[in-house]
Amino acid sequence: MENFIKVATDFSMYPGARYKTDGKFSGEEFFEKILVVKFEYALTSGEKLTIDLDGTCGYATSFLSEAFYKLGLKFGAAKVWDNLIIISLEEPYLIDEIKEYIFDAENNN
Amino acid sequence: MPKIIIKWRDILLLCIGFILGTISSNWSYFTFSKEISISDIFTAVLGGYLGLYIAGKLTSQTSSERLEKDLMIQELTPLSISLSRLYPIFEANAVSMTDAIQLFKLAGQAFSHVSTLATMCDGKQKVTNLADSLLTESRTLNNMVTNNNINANAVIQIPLNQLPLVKTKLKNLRENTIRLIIAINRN
Repeated sequence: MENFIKVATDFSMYPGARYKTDGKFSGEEFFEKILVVKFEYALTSGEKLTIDLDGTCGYATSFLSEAFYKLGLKFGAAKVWDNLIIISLEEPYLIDEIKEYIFDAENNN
Repeated sequence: MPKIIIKWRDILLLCIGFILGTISSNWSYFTFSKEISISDIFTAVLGGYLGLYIAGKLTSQTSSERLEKDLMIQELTPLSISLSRLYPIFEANAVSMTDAIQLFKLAGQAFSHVSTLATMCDGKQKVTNLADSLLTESRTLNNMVTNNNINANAVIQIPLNQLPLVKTKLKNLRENTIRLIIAINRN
């Protein structure tokens, strides 16, 4: 297994909304099917998980907050942030937003 | 009957024309010397060269500035079109998640590219600041719109109590994008 996720090819070109009940390719589905599995593997292998956000048609706030908030909640914000590399050349400001969602989980816990 | 407006500039041009006409009608006012001094030739050549050099420099600077402005405006034109197209759909609270996230991706990319380009070009601090503030505005609006659930038709369910604020912010974003284009042209 590779420590790499390219959302556009590994998940969808059209990431959706927050919950699976909202339709296909939700943040919840991304978290459960891909993100948590790959992150756990990254922790075991001792290598950081790289997530490439480029190539999709864009991201809803609900998608990103659901996926990354839950990741922060499950593993702890600092641990998650230390073990992630996020690539976003098309929308560089998304990296800061994702960081906020991860640390929100810790602040709200 | 059409109204005729006479400006001071017209009167001044008329006076200058009258004076030049009076002088040129009598060539005896002018004297021609048959001697040419070396310093006069030198001054004339230098003056001609400087004139051509300055004109060339100004033309090159103007076309380079036009190119920079066109590059920035090209980034904003598709966004301006999308904002106009989607505004009535937002007003009707019927925007799809796909349309919304595409719009905010376009907005985010356009404003951050303009900000980067304006930083690269000298003397465009005002444009950089405006583009940065629009990027923040568009991210706030993106958060207000796409942080909601969607219905079975993939239409975003913006809460009715938030809708007036969303509309106002979208209207501001649309108008401020045009203001940014004007600021790029003027700077």
